[in-house]
Amino acid sequence: MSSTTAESPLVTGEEVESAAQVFERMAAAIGTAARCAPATVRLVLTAFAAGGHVLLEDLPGMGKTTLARALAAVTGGTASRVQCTPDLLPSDITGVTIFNERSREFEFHPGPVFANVVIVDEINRALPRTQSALLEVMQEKQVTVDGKAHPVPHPFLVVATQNPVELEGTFPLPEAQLDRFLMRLSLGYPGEDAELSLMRGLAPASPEDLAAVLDGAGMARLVGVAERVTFAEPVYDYVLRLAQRTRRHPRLRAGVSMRATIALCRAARMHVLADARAHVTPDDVKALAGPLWGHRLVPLSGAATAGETAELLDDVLADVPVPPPFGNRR
Amino acid sequence: MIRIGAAWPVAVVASAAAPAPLLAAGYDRHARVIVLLAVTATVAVAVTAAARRLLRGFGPAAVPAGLPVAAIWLVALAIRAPGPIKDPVSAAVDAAVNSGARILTAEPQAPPTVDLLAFPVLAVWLAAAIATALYRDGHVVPALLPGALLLCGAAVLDPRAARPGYWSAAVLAGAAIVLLSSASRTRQDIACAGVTIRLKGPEPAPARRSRFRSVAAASAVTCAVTLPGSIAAVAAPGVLDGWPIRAHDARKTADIGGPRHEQRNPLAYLSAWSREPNVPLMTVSGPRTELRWVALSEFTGTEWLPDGTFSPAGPALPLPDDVPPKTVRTTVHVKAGHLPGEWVPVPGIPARIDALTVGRAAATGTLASWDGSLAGRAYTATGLVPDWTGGQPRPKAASGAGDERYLRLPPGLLPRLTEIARTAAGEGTAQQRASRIAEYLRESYTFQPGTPSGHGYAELTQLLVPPGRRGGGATSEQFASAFAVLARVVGLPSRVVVGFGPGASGGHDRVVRTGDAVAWGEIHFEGLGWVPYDPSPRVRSATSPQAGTGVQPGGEGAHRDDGARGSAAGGVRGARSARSHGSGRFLLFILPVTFLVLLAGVPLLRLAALRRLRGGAVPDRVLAAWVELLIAMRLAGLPVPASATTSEVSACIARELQETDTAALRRLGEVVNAAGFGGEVAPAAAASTVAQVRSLVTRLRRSRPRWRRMSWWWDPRAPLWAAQPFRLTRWVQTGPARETLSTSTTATTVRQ
Repeated sequence: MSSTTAESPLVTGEEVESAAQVFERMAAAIGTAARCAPATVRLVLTAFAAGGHVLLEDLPGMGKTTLARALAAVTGGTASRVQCTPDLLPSDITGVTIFNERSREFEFHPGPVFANVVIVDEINRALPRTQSALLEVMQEKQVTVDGKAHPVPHPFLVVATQNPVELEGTFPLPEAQLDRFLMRLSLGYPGEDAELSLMRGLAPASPEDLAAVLDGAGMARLVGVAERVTFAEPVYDYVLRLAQRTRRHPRLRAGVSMRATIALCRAARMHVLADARAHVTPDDVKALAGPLWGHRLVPLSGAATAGETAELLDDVLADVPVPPPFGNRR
Repeated sequence: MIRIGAAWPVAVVASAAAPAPLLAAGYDRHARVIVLLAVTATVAVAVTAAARRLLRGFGPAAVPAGLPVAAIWLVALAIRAPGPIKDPVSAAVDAAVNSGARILTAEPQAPPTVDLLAFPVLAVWLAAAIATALYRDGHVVPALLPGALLLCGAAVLDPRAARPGYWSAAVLAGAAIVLLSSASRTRQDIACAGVTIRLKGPEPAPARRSRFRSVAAASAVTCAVTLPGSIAAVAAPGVLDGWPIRAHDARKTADIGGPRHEQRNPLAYLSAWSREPNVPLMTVSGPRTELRWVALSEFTGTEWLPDGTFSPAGPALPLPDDVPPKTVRTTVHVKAGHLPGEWVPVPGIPARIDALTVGRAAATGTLASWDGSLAGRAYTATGLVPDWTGGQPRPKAASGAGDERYLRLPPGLLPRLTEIARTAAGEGTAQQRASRIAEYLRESYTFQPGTPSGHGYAELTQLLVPPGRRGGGATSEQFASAFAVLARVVGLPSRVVVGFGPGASGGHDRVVRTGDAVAWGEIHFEGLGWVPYDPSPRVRSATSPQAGTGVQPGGEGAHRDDGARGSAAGGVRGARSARSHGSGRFLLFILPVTFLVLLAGVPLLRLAALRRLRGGAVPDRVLAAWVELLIAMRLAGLPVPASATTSEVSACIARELQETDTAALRRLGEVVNAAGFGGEVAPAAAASTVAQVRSLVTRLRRSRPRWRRMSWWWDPRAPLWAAQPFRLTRWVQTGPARETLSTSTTATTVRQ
């Protein structure tokens, strides 16, 4: 027995091919500007298409900002950038209301969050209240100033970066805010060939020069197809068992939230489309569990490194039986 | 006519070495010890005779003159059969000083090493030397006394060795005949005591008279010695065996005490082991049987104490006085891994230990390695495993003088515990009361791995007296202690035993893990010996620490003390009920039939299952092929963890089969996933998948050892797996399978 999100027709082969080609074109375009692993680019695109936000955690100079700018360019939307510092105020990113002498009215001047792709650099250097303001935008997709809500454009993606090494003078993101990010990714060092070509001065294309691959209509079509992807009941059950295992694991203080399980299912639908498939498998769940759940686990030892959470997640994945393929047809 | 000139040395050697069979009875390898003592006597006679000649006939000085040679002889013995001290000179000195005391503290069948042999060797040497000096000085009857005295001493020292004593007496009698026959050629020396017969040179006498007297004297002596000896040899065994009074064992009067073996209480390990049940402790080869580790008889109120004093023992171990009526001699080979302490696990009542020097606790029969920790050692143990079928109908609790210690309870016992014991035991025979106590503990409480260690009055009160802080859960440590204490309360001599189950089932070699460790209680019955009772409940506590780890009761990795329960549960009664299950004739019939059914039926069922690859819906054919592949992996000895996805299984096959197209394997996983999780599968893809699986199965089979290939089509599990594919995945929590098959989520960091 299998189900889709609604009693709607199954995804056709043409739709799957079309969606996969969109992902492929976007990845190829981003690849000309950012020297990142294709798998990482695909995960970022998955997050974008699934309507989630991405936290890029890596050392300085690894191409985090370039990747975010390239993503904004290929999606055909507007992009803005916020460089977080301790004196950054919430109004600096959300916008302010200013009295217009000429019209004798208060006018709202939108901040940098009013863009399709918002790059928030060094997010952990911002004050907690500034981080909290960003939280509302990420979740509600609107800014409330002087009691009036101002919706942000659609699609909306926050790509935040943070440096895991220099922690002095920073404000670590609380668990609640980490949960708002769909994925936490680390770019890692590029391959030897890519780094050599950069050293030789063979500069990649500028992100701003990239042509848009996806427009709003295309995005809507993608979401519509994803909603009709087949998600078998045993796979739902598998996700649930994994979540329950994280909540009962002896080395974890807190497991993943309901938001995390929902996000995993949503991201898995996009992930299989990028793979030119119309059905979700336990392999997809396992592949996405690390990027989606790694930052949501709270170990007993307190703050956890990415390596520690990966090890814990490995433990969880090894503890939960995978639904066998033949079980779905009995 | 006896030629005395040539025969006297042989006779003197025989008289001095006559006690050898009796002395050797206390050692392992009797024949070797007898030969050693005989050679010792021979050398002593030769040395003393030579010394006397050098001293020009001054006999009394010849004995001490030969002692340096005796010392050299002892050093040579120390080189040939070294004891704990490896330096030969030091070993010889130590043995000469201490071997007498050591003999008293050694168990019967002691190893024939210099530290235990020096005393009899020196005794035989002195007996032979004195006899030689006396004989050569003409004192024939006194020359027989050293051997006779040594024979008496050996008989007193080891009264249980009566039968070898008959041989000793016979040899001494033979020597006496030969030596006394020489008296016919002497004349009485009136200058000495009347009993002394001096050997003088033969006096010239008429040949006829001399021959007649010689024959008459020889006949008289022969009759005087042989007749009583023959009568004693024939009649004594029968008469003495029925004699109710047994000679007192001199060993039991000595309380010299050996080295103390301070070790951690073995019961203290059980709690930690129940939390970590998968740590291997040892590998056991041989028949499946439980292993006894330590018996604990002394209860202090806070803990049960193991024996602390062990006596050196040889490979052949003495059996207790009350061996159960029916036993099965069982030999196992044990390779101890991380087993802590010095105690030696053995099957049943230990009878023999090879490749390991052990000490034995006389009271309980517990064995300990004489050379320190047992970890990493390998040995072969033979024991008598009791078979409780049959036996006495109404056994009585033992009530001998030695059983008082098994009834002793220190002060501090709460009246409530006494009340519980009497209520649980009720009225009836000793066996009924013991069974009821064990049943009360089994049925009223739960088994809870990870319960903190402790088994004194305080812990038993917490466990047994309502409401109880632990919710009724404990480990076999507490239940065994509770059983033994409650049994003592109602007057049953009891003790606690720690041992191990037979280990994980499988091939010839079985791994015994920490989860196999178990404690049980034993009751001492007259005529039956110590009978085991298992008081540990079968039901696990709902609050078990392992409840969330996927370990199921009775499953792999769980606390597996069921093996010990098998023989121990119910004690005598449970054992009797086992008799009804053993029907040899039925087995003789059913086994060949089963074999033939398997031989023909299993391949047919396999072929029937393979038909699903050719017919049915497209996804069903793909999934049937996948099931066949998983069956092949199980048959090939590649366990599939329950947490492995199709792509991980494909990757495992790619690693196992070299030169395999990994892309094709990846496609295989994709097609299977599509068939199983709602994707579309083209008929061509299904046909390709079936062909690919057939090829992989063939390659897997060919890559296996010959015995796996031969059993491939006859493994009875394969049809069962085909019918119930869910059983194909094995729950593997740790081990190489998980390491090789699981995919790391560190893919969060993706490298170019």
